[in-house]
Parts: sequence; structure tokens; C-alpha cells
Amino acid sequence: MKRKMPFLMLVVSLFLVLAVGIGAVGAQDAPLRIGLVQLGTDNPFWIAQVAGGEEAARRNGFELIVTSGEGDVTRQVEAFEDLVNQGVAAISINPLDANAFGPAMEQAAAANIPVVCLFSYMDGCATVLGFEERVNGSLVAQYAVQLLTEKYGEPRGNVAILLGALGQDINTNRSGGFTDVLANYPNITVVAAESTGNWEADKAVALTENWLTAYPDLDLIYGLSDSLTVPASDVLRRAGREDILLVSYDGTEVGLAGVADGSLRSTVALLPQYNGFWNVYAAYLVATGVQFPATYYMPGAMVTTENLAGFQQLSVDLADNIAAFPFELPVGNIVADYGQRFSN
Amino acid sequence: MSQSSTIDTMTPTRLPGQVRAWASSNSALVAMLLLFAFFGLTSQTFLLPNNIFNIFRQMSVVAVLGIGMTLVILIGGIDLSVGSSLFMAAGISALLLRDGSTAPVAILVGLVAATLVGLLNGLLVEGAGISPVIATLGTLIGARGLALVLMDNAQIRVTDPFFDTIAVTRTPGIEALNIPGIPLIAIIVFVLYIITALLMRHTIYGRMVYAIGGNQTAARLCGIPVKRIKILTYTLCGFYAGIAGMLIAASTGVISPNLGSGSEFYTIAAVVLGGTRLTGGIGRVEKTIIGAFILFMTLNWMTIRRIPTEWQQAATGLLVLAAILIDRLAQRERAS
Repeated sequence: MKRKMPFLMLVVSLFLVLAVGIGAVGAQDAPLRIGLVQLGTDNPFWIAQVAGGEEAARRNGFELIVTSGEGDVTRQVEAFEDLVNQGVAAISINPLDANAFGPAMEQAAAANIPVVCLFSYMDGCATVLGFEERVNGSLVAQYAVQLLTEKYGEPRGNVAILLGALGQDINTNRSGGFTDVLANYPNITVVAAESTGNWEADKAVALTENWLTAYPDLDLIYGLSDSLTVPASDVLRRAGREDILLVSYDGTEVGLAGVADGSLRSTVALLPQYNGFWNVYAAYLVATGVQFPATYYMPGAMVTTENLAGFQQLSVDLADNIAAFPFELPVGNIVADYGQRFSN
Repeated sequence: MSQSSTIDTMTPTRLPGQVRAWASSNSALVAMLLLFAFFGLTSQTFLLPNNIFNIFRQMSVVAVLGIGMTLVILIGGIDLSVGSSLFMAAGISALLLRDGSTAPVAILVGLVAATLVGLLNGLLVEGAGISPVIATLGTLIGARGLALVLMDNAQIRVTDPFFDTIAVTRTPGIEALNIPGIPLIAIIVFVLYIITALLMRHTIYGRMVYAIGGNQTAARLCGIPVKRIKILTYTLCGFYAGIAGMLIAASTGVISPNLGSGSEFYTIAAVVLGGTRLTGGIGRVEKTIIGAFILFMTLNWMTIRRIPTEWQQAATGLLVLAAILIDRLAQRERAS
């Protein structure tokens, strides 16, 4: 049963794609044009997102116009308005500042151009796409509970959290999803949860050192970003406290390397290509009349010591053979499937 | 205004004059000792030798940035770009190490890069006549941007054994008393402070800095090459930021795009807490390390005492405001 699910979903979504594709081609002679407005273009994460989006265009035979604000909200608004003037079929945008797009969104509405919003809500969005940061946080917690249970034979222990910048949504959700789950385990105590300022690595170092002094019986540290946990892992190694388990978030190159060498037990990979595919594919579907839910959040992939080999193969396939990647499947199924096929 | 009468009521009369004079000119040291005693009384963990050594290491980056910052503030300037210079030095060194350079080459190039940012600051302020805040705000943005371009916006891991050695090495400890060794990083910081303090006291450069900070016009009329000394001071500040970059690369082991951002705030706070006047001319380099210690032992104590993280930020801000206030009061007393 478990193994058949992905196949069934593949068939269903292929059928959906095919049906929509035929409909679109039938309606118009020229290929549809979809606009994508990025935050910038020079970050590996953004580059990977665009690669996923271009694959969505290739598969479905539409033209993708990629623009960006290069970090400047005024330029982003201009890029957005240019796309409206070009009369694209739909726009997918990751706004630098959602408040700056009021008039631009009205222009799009007046031109009947649906807008897919990425990571931020704006008035008039056809749908809002984002990451399931809170769900991902709870996945990390479940894995942490598993690790503590392996250590003690029952779920108990002392946990500390390296927070990011207070007040940011990703900080609230990544930590909130984690503590929600731990609240169900009375013998697991969150002894400390402290901010690292603006996600600062040197603060993560100082906090970890101070925790080693203040809480000598610490069992596990959860850091909300690889940029915090990797420095923390160095502190633990230098102090000879590698018995303290580290679980992380982000799935960056240094984070995955940490899982590979065992200094981190897990991280959450956000699969930018997968996200980028859906950011653009959703705009295409909306343009062709498919109704999307008001919000559509994508989960990340838990990368642990156990499924690392599978995930590494998945990353290679995404880079080298994107045309064959099963983007239409839920990300959890893809990762589970790779995990089974490429076990360590 | 009846300013003198206000001061009379505030002057403690029981203390002998000499003690009072000493305390008022060493208010930073007095504040440090009082806080240290309070923290020690309220937390036994705080007083553990290893905890004190941790504080030494944690303050190292801000303390080293503070040396250069004190010099720049003494000549009546300010350098907001130290966090970016530090990042540039650390990033470039990490890049070179990743691509196979040896540690000495990587360190040298990193230090040169940060020093050049300092030189550029000096030229912008003294050559182009741009106000220090604006000029160094520009290099704050520019230097980080340039370094990010070079690093391709990625995180870079520093695994070089030399850097690791800097981070782990300690002097021998006293096992019988359960006292660990002093971290090498702390020793590096103290040595830098001693060298710079001697430089300021015993060289013509040091005297010129105070002369310029005290009265720039008078200094120029005395034949002091004001422009060159100021440019040199900004350059030195960049150099110290480079050293801080090496220390942060060693202790964090990963160069992330935001490394060191905001450290100018803590640095200026340490300088102010140390009693250096933001208007220039008055202050001592060696007192900045006292300011840095006050800041970081307070942060350390708040973590150990489980003060909520939101309150820690507020408390840090209050601490700096209090320092400025105390400094103003001491200044008035001296003036009378």
C-alpha cells in the first residue's frame, strides 16, 4: 500500500497536467507567458528556485519570464508593473515588502492577471505559497524525541533552543512547532531558549558555551538554522561534549556536511528547486483556471543520519537530471522513496 | 543656572578626597567591580574560573574591534564599518583556505583586505571631506556587499587546523584546584591591548592622537600632520577589524553572510562603557576592555540566571544609557 501511493499520485497529477495542458494549448496559439518576480538573483537558493520554475515551464509548454528586484523593493515593484504591462497570463511574486504592492496589485487586478504570492500575504492574492515552517519544526521535535528515547529508553532529557531573530515569522514557527510537540512529553524539559540576535553565529557560540556551564546535564540542542548549529557543533567538539545531540534546520551545504560527518544529527532541507517548480507551476495552473486553496504550504524534508544517502542522491538528481524529477509528488513521498532506495 | 549647587548636593562628602577622585576618574573600573561582585553573589556558576574564561573569549571580537574604535573616537571620528571589515577579512581568508591556500597566506590577505577598507574610510573622511558617519556607513554596506559577491553568497566552513588550534589552545591549568587553562584567544586580546596602550603612552603617534582629539585647530597650528594621522588611525581601525575577523573565523568555524553585522553597536557600547568621550580627545584604550567585559559578563550572567531573551536586549541598551549618564555626571563634577 505504502509503495503504491506515490505511483497513484503520479498518475493523478500527470492526468491533471495533461488535461490542463491540452486545455491551455487549445485555447491559445502562442504559448502562455508566466512572470516570476524574485527577491534577487545572486543567492544559490534563488538560482535553484528559478531552475525548478524553468522546468515547470518546459514540462507544460509555457514561457517563463524571470525578473527580480535585486534586493530593492522599488525595482521589484517596477519589475512587477512591467509584467502587468506586458500582459502575462499570471504572476508569481516573492515580495520584499508586502506593504509596497498595494497599487501594483490593483493594476494586476484591473488587467485580470492573477497573482500567486510567495511567503507573504497581500490583498488580492490568488493563493499564498510558502513553507510549512511550523510543521517542519514539529518534525524536528519528533526526531528529537526519538533520539532522546534511544538514549534513555524513554522520552526524557534537557533541551535548549538556539533561536533566530525574535519577532520574525520563521523564528516563531520553527521554534513553536518544536515546542508544541515537546509539550506532550512531561519528562522532556526545554531548559533554555535564547535569541542569537540577528541569526548571529558568534552569539550561537557564546550561548552554547554558557549553556555548557549553566546546564551540565544538557542532552540536546535545536538550532533554527545551520548557521547557528554548525558553530555550536564546534563548541561541543572542543569541549569534549559530543554526547550532546544537535538537530538543525535549513539543509545548506555546511549543514548537510555536518549531518554527513555526524556533528549534526539532522537538518531540514527546503528543496529550493521543488519550491521553485511549484511557485511557477501554481501560477500556470491559476492562469488556466484551476482553483487553488487560499494557502498552500510545502513541507521540507527531514535529513537525518539514516536517510542522508538517499537525500544526497536526490540532490544529485535535482542538479543533473531535473527533467526526470517527480516534482508533481508530495515532497515527503519523494524523500521517503529515495530513503528506501538508497539506504546507507 | 545654579549648576554648581546641584553638583554640591550630589557630591558624596564622606569619602576622602583622594578616593573620590580615583573613583570618578575610574568609574568604569568601579562599575565593573560592583557588577562583578553582584553577579558573583547571585550566581555561583558565574564565578567558576571556566565561566570567567568563557567571558574573556566571548568578548574577544568586540574587544579587538574596540581597540581601533577607541583610537578613531579619540580623534573625533567614528567607524561604523568595523563589522563589515571583519566579515570581509574572515570571508576572504575562508575562501582562500577552501581553495587550498596555507593559513599564513590566507590570514595575511584577509588582514590586508580589512586594512584597505580602513584606509578607504580615512581617505573618504579626510581626503573627500565626507562626514565619518556617512563615509563609514557607505563602506559598511559596500564592504559586506563586495565580500558577498566574492563568496557567492554561500556559507563557507573553516576547517583549517591552524584556526582550530587558535580556538582550542589553552595555557596549562591547575588541576588540583580545578582551574582550567586560559584560552589563547583571550591572551591574544590582552597582548593586543598592552601593545596598543604602550603605543598610545610612549610614542609620538599616541600624543598626536590626543592632541588632535583635544583641539584639531591647535594641533594643526603646532605642525601636527592632522590629516595623515587621522587617515593612519582609520587604517589601524581596519587592521584591528581584520584581526577580529580571524578570531571570529576561528571561534565560529563557519562564515555566514551576516557574520559580524551589528557588532559596531556592541563595539561603540564597549568604548562608551569604558569612559571614552564620543566627542574625542578623552579616553584610554585599556579602559575599553573593561567596557567589553562589563557588557559580556552581563550577557553571560543573564543567560546563567535564565533572564528571558527579550529582557536581555533591553537590559543591554539600558546598560549603555546608564554608562553615558554616569559619564556625563562625572564630567560635570570634574568641570566644577
